[in-house]
Amino acid sequence: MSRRVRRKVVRRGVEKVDFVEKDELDWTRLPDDTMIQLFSLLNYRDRASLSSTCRTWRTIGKSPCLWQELDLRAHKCDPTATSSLASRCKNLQKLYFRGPDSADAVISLKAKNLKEISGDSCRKMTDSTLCVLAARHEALECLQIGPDFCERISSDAVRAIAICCPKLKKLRISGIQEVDASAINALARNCPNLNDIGFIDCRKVDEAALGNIASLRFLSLAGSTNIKWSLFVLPHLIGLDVSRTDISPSNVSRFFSSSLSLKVLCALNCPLLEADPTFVYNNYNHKGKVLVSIFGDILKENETNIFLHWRNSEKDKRLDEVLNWLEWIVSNSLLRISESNPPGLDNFWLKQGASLLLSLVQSSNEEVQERAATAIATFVVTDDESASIDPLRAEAVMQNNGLRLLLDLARSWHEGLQSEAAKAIANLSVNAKVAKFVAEEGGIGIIVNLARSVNRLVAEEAAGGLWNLSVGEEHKGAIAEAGGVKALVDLIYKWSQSSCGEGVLERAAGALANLAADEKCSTAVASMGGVHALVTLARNCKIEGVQEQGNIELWWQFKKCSNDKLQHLGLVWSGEITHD
Amino acid sequence: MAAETGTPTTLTLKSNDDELFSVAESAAILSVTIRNMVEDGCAGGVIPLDNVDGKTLASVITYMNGISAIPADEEKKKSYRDKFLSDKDFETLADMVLAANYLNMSCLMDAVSAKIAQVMEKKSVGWVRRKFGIENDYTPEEEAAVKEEHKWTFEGVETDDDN
Repeated sequence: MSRRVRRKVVRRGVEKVDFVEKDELDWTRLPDDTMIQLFSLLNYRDRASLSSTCRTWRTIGKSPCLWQELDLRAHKCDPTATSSLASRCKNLQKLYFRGPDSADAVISLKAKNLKEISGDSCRKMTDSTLCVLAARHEALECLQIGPDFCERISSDAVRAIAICCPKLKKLRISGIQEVDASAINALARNCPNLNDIGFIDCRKVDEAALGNIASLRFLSLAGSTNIKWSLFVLPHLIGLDVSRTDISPSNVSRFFSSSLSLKVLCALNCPLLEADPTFVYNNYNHKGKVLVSIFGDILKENETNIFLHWRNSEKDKRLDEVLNWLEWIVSNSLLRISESNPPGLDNFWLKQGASLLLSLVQSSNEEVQERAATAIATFVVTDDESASIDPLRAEAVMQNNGLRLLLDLARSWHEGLQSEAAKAIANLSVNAKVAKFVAEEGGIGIIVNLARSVNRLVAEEAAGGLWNLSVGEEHKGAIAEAGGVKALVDLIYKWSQSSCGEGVLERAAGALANLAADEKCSTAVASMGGVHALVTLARNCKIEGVQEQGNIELWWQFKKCSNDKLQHLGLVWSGEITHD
Repeated sequence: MAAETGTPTTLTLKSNDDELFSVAESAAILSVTIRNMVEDGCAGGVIPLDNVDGKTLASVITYMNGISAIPADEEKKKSYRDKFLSDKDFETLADMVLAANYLNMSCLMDAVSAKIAQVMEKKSVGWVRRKFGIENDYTPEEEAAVKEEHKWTFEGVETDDDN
């Protein structure tokens, strides 16, 4: 400890000093495990700030228990970044990344002991990237790539995964072109522990070959096409997900009657089933088996949602396994259904969908929570063009205590949850009733706080929230009071230099423009340097949409506003624009 | 262990500055350290707590009494904890975290840590050094290496040193 130079510290208790000066508290008194706990509650940037202060904390920041899991989704992930992380990732167990470039860079982490990899936004990921990813991580037990469609991935990559990762237990990939019999047979031969497969939204799956993977207990073919539904019998299959497919009533009945082990069959949004009025009735009689579908009310048992009931009841390992799987696949399907927004489901969303999504928001699995929040943000928007919100759907979210849950989620330290919760709150706030509720529940303060986040995704969604909340006159004052103006101005300064700040800038400029139109707020905008920020933005910004947002709209706002100072600045600005 | 019937057992705790506190055993055993003493039969006389001062111990006992009066309802306990910590300043929190660590009270420990972590959020290196009274002990070479090590977290964003 002598390596560290410290300020002189007065020890309390021994010398009986009544109160220690603010700066003179000796933090080195904190034991390492307490410091590690503190580190674990902070995001990577805050951990970096602590580690950068002195040698002792740098060592603590490298503690292996802080490097079990790594979420690179919000970070620029290039080989330089990942190489610099390699020394800390020797025992990394779980990794999240975003985008195929990141997948390439992940190799430089040299995290050979990785057990779980989860990647999203991998539309452009190629077979070769995925093959290398598998080959370098032979200890992999769980691989998830999705929910975006990986259209360039083929059976070749699946075969390579089978050969490289013999310990694989869980494989879930979305949107592959084709999974042929030889790939599936390779999995059957090489991966004796494989018990969970999701070939989701795939163009073609040779489902008959799936019968060869005898170890399978959970299977999802949700959204996949070109399936012949030939009967495959898996002796240990507990859960089967055929949501969003063309499965017919007779095929569902066949699965139910032929599989003894099957407990749950999930069939959300299957047109052929939903077109058959006798289907539910015919399929209620499979003892001990549960059918999850849009028209049944099966997820509700004695008026309480089955997921909530399960979480509050005593732990049962086998039930946990089934419900963890069910949560994952249901959240996945609901997100997809909310995106495609097929007609005829209004009733479902109002009666079940909303409360189902809100129960998933309370899941213990962050991935499920995140996706449920995204789905809430999506299903309430009925028209992308005009960004209008379905008042009934918004009402359904409100009725189920949804806003409080979302605000709680926004307050969590997990940035993925923060951004998705902020997105949901932002979208819902288009509705005046919701906006009022958000304001009453202290939501504006929460959103403003998120807008201060250094995480681009969080800041972007939060700025979007402020943009929507600042549309009407009611909440402008509250936003300014909560420090929203400064947060927005800071965002503009921070991101106008960056190449990837487009979304943040557009939203922040939009929100500031709305605020500037208010007489009281316009003074705050001016005094916080908002005008200067926007002028800089308008001058320097390379991105057209942003420039437009910052430029024209604001110029007009300033021109017509009654605040002399702003009007003057607006005129100066217009002069500058014409000069450019 | 205490008898099943009769008056509730009271324990006497002594802080490192020799203050004495009476507390119901049922509340005090929230601390695993104290519970172990009780179970080992060595809680009869005064229990000396050498690492906790009187001011902090008084606060911890308030918490022990408050939280043990709430029946098994996580929601209510959480809101009690939030309220209990809401008016504590940074220095008190630091003392509490040390006390909770010494007394082995995980629920208090978690809550206080979360609260301290909130204070640490979004702060620059300079701020942390000032607030924690830490002077930079890195050589210029090390400083450069540390910067390189953490570059990935900042995505080109400079933290504001005045925060």
